[in-house]
Amino acid sequence: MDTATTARKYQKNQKKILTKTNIMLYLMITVPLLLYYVFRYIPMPGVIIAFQQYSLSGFKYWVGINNFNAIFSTYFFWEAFRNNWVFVGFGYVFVTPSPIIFALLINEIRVRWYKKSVQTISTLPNFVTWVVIGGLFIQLLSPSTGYVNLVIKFFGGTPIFFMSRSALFPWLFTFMRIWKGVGYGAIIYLAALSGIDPQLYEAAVIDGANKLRQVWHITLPGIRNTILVLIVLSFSHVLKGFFEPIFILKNPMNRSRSEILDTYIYTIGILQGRFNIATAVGLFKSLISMFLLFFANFLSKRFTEDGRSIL
Amino acid sequence: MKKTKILCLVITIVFALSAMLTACGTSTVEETPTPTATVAPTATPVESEEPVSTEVAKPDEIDITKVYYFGDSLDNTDQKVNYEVWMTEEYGIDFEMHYPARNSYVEVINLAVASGDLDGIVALFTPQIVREWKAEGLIYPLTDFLADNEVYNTTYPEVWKETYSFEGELWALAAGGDGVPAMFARSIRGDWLDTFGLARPETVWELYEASKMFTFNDPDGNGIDDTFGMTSRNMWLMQDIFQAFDARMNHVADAVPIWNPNTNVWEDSMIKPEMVECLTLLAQMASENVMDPESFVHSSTVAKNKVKSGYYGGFFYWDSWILSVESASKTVFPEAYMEGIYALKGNITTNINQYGIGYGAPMVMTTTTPEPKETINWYMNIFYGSAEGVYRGRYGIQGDFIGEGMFTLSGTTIYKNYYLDSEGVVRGFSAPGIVGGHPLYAQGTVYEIVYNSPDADWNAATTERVNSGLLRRKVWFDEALAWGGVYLLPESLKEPTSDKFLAISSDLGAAAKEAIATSFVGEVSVEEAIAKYREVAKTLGAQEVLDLANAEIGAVTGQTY
Amino acid sequence: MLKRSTGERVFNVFNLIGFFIFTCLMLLPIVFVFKQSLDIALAGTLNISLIPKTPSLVFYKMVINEESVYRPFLNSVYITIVGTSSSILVNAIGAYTLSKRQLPGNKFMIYFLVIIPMLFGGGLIPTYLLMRALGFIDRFAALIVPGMASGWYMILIRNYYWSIPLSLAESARIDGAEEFTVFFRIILPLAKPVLSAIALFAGVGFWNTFMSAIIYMRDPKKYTFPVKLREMILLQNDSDQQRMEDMLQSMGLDPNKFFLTAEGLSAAMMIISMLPIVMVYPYLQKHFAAGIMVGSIKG
Repeated sequence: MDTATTARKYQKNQKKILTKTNIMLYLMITVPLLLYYVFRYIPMPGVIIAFQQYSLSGFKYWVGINNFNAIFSTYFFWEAFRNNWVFVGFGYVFVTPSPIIFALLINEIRVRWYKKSVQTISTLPNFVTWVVIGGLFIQLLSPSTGYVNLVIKFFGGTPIFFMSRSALFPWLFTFMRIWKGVGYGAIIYLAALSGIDPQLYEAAVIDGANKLRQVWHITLPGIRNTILVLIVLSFSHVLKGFFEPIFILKNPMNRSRSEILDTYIYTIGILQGRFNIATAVGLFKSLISMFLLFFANFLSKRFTEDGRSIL
Repeated sequence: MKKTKILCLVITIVFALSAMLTACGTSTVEETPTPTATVAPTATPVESEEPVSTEVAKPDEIDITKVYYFGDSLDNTDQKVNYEVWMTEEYGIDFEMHYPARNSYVEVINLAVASGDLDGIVALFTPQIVREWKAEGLIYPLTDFLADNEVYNTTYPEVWKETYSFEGELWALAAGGDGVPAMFARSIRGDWLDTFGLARPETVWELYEASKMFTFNDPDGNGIDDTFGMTSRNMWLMQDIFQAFDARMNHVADAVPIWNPNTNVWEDSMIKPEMVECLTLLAQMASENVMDPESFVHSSTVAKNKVKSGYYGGFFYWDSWILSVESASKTVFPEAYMEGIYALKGNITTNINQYGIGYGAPMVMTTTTPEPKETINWYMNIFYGSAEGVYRGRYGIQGDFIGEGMFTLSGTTIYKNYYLDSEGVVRGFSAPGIVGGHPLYAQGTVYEIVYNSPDADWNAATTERVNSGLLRRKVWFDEALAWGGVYLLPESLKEPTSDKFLAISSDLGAAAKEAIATSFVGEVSVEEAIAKYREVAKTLGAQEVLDLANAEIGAVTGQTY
Repeated sequence: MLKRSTGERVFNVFNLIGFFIFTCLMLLPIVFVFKQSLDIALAGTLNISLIPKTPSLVFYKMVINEESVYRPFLNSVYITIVGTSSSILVNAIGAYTLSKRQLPGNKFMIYFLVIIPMLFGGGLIPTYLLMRALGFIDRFAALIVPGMASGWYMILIRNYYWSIPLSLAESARIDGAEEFTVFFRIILPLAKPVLSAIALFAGVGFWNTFMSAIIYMRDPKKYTFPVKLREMILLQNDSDQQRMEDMLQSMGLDPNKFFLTAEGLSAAMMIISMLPIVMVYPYLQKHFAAGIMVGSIKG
């Protein structure tokens, strides 16, 4: 936090923008600004492709909103749209709470080395790419050579071909997401937990509160704000981050439950060369994201302790 | 509000600036793809006023983009480079080879052509893609460029011309084939059949019974339940079963509208009652493990490995592989041998499996090619003009005396050279595969190929193995041909030619594949799967495709979605 | 010390056991793949033992010997090293400017770097055409440069700068040091925790480069390791089988005696791909937690 001296210094120079200090500071940020301008801003107007007939041979003519009419009447688009939201829903119901539960439980462990090693091991998968995680699970669940089915066979069961059961797919995918992210997600909650005043617990014990009541009345309220902030923040990117895992895990048998907007864009855009349709789907997706972002901002102002804005 | 103001300001500035920049940026790009209408007629006739067209000047360079050039893109780096250098020296034209990896070939060429970076001759996979690219104005028609080319007019076979001619113009050269029938055949473990005293299955039901025995009666006699009746790779490696039921797939095993040779009508197999019958049997086979339940997930290679491992009864794949899977399973089970079945009877008894004479992949020339006329004429002269050129395109660097280079040509004999590595093992060269066969095959001249390594025993053994294999295959094939199990599918009837079909074929094919896959694993009932397919096909407008295709051959569509 | 009731003790025991099982569950997939990477047993003879039946290092040798495998690996190493170091430098310097709240235009920069890019995106084709116009196709620059600056990382670093007591910087400033000097001499060394957290993030990001490599790298010599890995896992084709046999032969092994499937090779590649993280993370973990906490909670 700036001290009074710097504040005064700036106060003094408020009218003059181009002081020597300021120029130096501006120079320090030129590189990121330039990179952002080139790689994020220059391509932005390209979304007009969504309103054109634009394919492998480039621009042909303007079509207005016909591309959107075309996608909204496509069965596959709605299927991908639905699946996308199924994954989002499963995410909030199962993936979001898992690190909280994990943090609460691991916080109870008093053996330090044990706690630390469990934490290290469970955090690691977060840094492994989905290509590897996907491949890992595909091999693990294979009906002929997969370990899970070897165990099932060992106990006399019939092998289950997991990756082919489209109804199972959202569950498997959710399991993988938890497996990958639970340890990492818990880091923040653990920090929040360590910030809770131990005296509160001592007082509760003297009052005769049992463990469950302590969790309910002290621990959860203590991390309530962290939970809220993270949930609200997550609204702004709910549709992102599914491409890689689905790209790896998708196969013709589970496609009806695994195709999402991003993979759909890839298929029609790059593989089939219908760039206009792909861009239109992308634009539609970012409109939804934008709406969600403003909604998250509203929620954040309304419900977080300090009424902060994320925009 | 202050924030909104800033936001608006920033967005406006940014958009204005970047719109300007992109306008500058794309204008250079847009120069390259010429609009369709102006492509062909204007550019060519002017240049072809030259009276002697065989004297077309050499182009500075010829760019060739293809898959599997000396193996996949990272294999045999030195052979790749050596060949380029050698060809450049030999012909005085700069040969530039581009070889995207097989797994991302489509992505790479799509993005490259969209940005105008794809020059020269490009190998595509199917005639359908050629038609799409033609419609986009991405490729030149070749007829005018080649009008006075002697090789084109005299040597290049008429059937090859027909294969890739659309609306009276030639749009692609055929990479060429040996003129032998290209087809799949079912392999089945002969020793297992013997164990149970079974004859070679003739009908699809006999196949089912035999495969059931393979699965449940422990054909390898090791007391463990570890065998499967057969494996597959989606419809691709069990197409014969569908055809036997008269629920046909097309020539690449996609369940899209096909032409039925028995009734001479275009039809959609998916909504035929025979399909329900077929899928019911397949679902039963999958649930009993008679058919490998993994069939819709693993790759063709995995399927092939499974058969090679000796624990699977067989599959339906390239007929030449009956023998390669046989020799591999022999290493595990010495008594193993394979029987070949070119067609299974079922609901129908004639015209069951199609075969094509392979003319090779379509080679197109993009409109961004700098010297189109020179390029295509010299490409034609070099790779189709003489036996020498053909085999240089096919096998690589030519040697002057026997044993030198990747091959040596002597009369009508091709010595395909092998060498001994440091361990004394015979090793071969990979091949560029720019052309796949001599055009003269189409006219009856046959070049003999001789295996030529320093190890004479190896040469003899290899020749013996290959020849006896060819003989066995010929017996099976001729037998099926005799009773009418296989038929030659004319190139023009491979798939519907309407633009509507082009637009919906991938979606329609995906929907059909999904219906088959989901009912196969028992996820949904056969009826539900097909009902869902019907819905999708309706919204896609598949009816129109059938009607158009039938109108073209003067038939009447008998199906409604 | 608090006294614990019997109920709590029972809970603690179960909790410990529960976490033991949980950890095993986390490790099982990795152990299984590790086993596969060492095992050359036949498909029909697999069992549930996690100890390879016929252990062999054949797959690892393949990774080392085969150019189509080690080339993408080296590419990824190169991208990761260059990308991470430049990313840290660019973001750490930029974040310092962002940390000056009173600097005119500060708000604009936040909007420009964080909020607007969050709202609008370019789409694939325009971005591709841009990369091409810049001559980035088939150059590692396409994988490194666009990811170098990150608004999000800068915010994290900026928040950490805010937590550094400014009296230190002030004393330096009184000595007459410029902003530059203040930054490099005082702020940067103190920001080590957050920078190592960012290093981990950025490093993992570059190491896992996948999609952009598929799109911008036409030349397979420029592929990254995950691209190659996906190819091995999902899209095994016949040339791979041929190659497996060639590789065996080149190692003096008889391909007819081994039934190598690409599964073993991809298992070995997965293990190799996980190695750098497994080696680095435990060391960074301490800094990492501290850095990330200050960064995100206060953000």
